[in-house]
Amino acid sequence: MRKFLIILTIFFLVFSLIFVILPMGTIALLPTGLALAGGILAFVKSEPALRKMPKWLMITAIALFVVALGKVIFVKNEAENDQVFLQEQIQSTEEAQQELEELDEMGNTDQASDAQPTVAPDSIQ
Amino acid sequence: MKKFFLIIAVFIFTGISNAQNIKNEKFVYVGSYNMSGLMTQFAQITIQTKPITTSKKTFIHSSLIATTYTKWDTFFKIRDLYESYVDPVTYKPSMYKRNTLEGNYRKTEKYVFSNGKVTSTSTRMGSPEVTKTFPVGASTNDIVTAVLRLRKMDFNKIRAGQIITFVIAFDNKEFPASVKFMGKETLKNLGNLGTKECYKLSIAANTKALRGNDKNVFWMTADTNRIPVLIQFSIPVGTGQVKLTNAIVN
Repeated sequence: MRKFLIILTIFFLVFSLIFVILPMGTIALLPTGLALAGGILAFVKSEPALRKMPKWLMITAIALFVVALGKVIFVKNEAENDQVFLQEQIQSTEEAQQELEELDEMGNTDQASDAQPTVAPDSIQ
Repeated sequence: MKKFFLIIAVFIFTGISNAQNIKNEKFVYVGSYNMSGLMTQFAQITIQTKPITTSKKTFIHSSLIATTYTKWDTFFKIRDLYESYVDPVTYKPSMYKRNTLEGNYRKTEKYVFSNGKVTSTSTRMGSPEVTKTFPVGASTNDIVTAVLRLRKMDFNKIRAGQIITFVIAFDNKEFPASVKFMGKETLKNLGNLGTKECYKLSIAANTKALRGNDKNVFWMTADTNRIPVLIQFSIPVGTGQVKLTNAIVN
């Protein structure tokens, strides 16, 4: 039972580490929580003389859980103010405006033909 | 991932307006992807609509901007821009533009609609520019205009279960798409809109990008603004949703 719990804890710790590194948000709390639970159980189930490894697994799990929780609380969802992208947007609009102007001058923009979408006459479920 | 944003564009792109008064609209959404049953927020999607004028004419300019949150940029950076320039009277598209950067994938595309044909110019992954011309029908829209038309439809005249069909020009060809009106539902927690009665619509298209029956659903407010508030999508690589966080209409 002790060995099984230690293996399970290590398994969840590996996942925890990956999930904590990636910006997974609250999902990262799942493997870290399971690793923490496994670590505590392994610690409790171990003889006092054999508690060194479960203790370190537990400490690692606590550390990862704290980091994951900290990321959930303090790392906000913010879109970067990407100046290059903003410039591309402005440039795209300016180019389009110029091209529309040229199309207008050539009389090339499609004129009123208000073709509406078709609504099927019968109810279809 | 590009399919994901294409679908978002299909569903929520652009703002509603009319010939007399083109509204300035700005809708901000959060895009989430379903990972093991839990929604992970990864991108901000902004839709803006405003008038744009040339010396002779005013157009509706709608843009969709998708940007990954800063914390995701290192792993998968998205900077997508979809734009459309639409006649405010006829709701016919004059120009459609797409500029996508998704990870290492880059594509630009421009459609000019004129005289029953589309002239498309596209580049992909740094390859040389390709120009093509293909004929389109009188009722063919780009994806933006299709939603514009959908948003201005009178849903009081449509029964639940009825299907609305569109022809959309995409990837240098026309393809049919349909929207099934599924009635009304009241949705809560819609950003600054709070609780709203909404029209529920299911999208279907003859494309590999969409999966399942009635699994690609979107809701828009059942008021005069017709604001798209929630999209649930199912694509070959998974499921997710796009939800409104803030809406400004002037």
